[in-house]
Amino acid sequence: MMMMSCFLLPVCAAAEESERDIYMRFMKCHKCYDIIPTSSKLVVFDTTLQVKKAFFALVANGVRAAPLWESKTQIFVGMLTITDFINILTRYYKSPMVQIYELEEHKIETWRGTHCVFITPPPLPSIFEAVHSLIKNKIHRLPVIDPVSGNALYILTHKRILKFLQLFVCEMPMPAFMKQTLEDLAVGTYANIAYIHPDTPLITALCVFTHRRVSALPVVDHNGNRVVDIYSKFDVINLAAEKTYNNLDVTVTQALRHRSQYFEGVMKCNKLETLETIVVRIVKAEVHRLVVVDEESRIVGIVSLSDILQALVLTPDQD
Amino acid sequence: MGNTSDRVSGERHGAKAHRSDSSGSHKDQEPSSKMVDSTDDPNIFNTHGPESKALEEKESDLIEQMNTGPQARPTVIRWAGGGKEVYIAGSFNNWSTKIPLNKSHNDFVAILDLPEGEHQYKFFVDGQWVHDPSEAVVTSQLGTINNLIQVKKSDFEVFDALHVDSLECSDTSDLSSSPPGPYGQEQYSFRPEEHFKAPPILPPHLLQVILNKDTNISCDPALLPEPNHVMLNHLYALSIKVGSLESAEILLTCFQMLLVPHEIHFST
Repeated sequence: MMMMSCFLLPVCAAAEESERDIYMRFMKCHKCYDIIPTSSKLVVFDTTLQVKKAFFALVANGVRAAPLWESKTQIFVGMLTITDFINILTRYYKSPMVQIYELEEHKIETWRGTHCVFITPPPLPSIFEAVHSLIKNKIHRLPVIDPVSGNALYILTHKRILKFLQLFVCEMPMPAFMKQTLEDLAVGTYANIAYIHPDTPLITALCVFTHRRVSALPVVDHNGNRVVDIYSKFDVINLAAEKTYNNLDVTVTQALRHRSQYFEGVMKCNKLETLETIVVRIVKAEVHRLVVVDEESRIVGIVSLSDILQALVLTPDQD
Repeated sequence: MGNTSDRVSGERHGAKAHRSDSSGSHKDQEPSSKMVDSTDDPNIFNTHGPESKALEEKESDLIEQMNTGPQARPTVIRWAGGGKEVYIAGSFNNWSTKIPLNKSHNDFVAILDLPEGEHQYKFFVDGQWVHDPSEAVVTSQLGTINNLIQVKKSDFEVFDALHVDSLECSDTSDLSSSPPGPYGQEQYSFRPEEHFKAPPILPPHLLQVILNKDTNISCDPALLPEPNHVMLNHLYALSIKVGSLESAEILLTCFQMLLVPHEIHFST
């Protein structure tokens, strides 16, 4: 249940100019606290926990990220996410015959000691600052820490923020740029898209995640680059759930077999669709990105929640 | 009110009767219309003949079970497949009696003492024998499908304390009423000469931990149902098995979320 905060619009002449930054002002008006659900769960790991148990615990508890607590210094030192799982695999995987020693034996602190950089969540009075932090640092999960108790309260994501905005969109005048097309607004990525094929070995796909720092890879076929599927970072945690992380020589298609029953298909869009249509579709589908395709379903680009929030909230006055 | 307590005490006796069976000291269910339970005042026991006897025997059963083998573990059996009346029978009681399960909010629950090892069991739901398709199954020698449960000592090291309490508690479906016991106007006065064998009962509300409750698949997996306010600000400690790992210690806490918007101030 969202708490309704008082949001008063300045009652001035409804010039289009004053509406351009309406979403930015909306975000500045609301606190991060407003976006936290009434009842939710949070999993925190001690840094001395074994890294393998930690990933299994993510699966067992149905969460995809956990703040890390260092007992010695009594502070939060980072987050463990699926990206860490992927990075461990790409760095240390040798072959299906060899166990990944670092995954089997390391503690979280051993793994982090060599690789991780913690982006300290700044004090976050407003959602605007949260969006700014997420986009500026190119991260997808931001822990909200209560400064009084020092407890982690919630992990904020782009998805939650856009869903919150979408709830109030009908109560605000819509800026003109929402009716413009993705192409006109240049929202999304249209050059140098990272993608894979159905027969790409899993280890290759994971390396692309690590090196290109993307969160999902459209799977395109060999004739015409038509989009047939999508492999996202979230799908990787299934390797932990099914304990199949030791054989990364299998193809992406094989790795995706576990979800074939309930998968609703790749969520797509066209660059001639308006930003308004895109926002409605992406929030309803509860995905992080839409693949931009042409009439033949060939890949043209990707538009993600980061791109959308950037356009709506951070840089609404760009033309 | 009278009917409810009859039904409730009957169901509870069902669960308890099984326990008595397992130790072999008590065959029939005690005919009682009063909710029998341990209280702070042991004098209550002495004023009711058959119940006090039952309670003393039950207490000694409990102690016996805790101290000697074969170690029987209180095991939670849950049936979430709907129905009006649900019973269970299994290899642990030689399929001899049908033990009634207590109706909780959306499912039926019973807590049975199961000795370590493998047990087959099946549910009798509204007149039909069915197995739980979501749990492990095995095909019996007669060709029927039964559910299978493995009870291991390592599963319950810390759960023991909680489950012993839950056996003592009233059924969990009646959370809105006051716990059983004597109520009066005199203040409780501690009598040091009294020796209490067990700590006070854990309120049944605290057994309903929402942290691992299933939620609708379509919403954010981190969302939880809104908790009963009495469950907030408690610290729960569990030692549980996560998959095939040895027991990992997981500490669960419930925080109170403030229900009015407030400013979070940051000192910078």
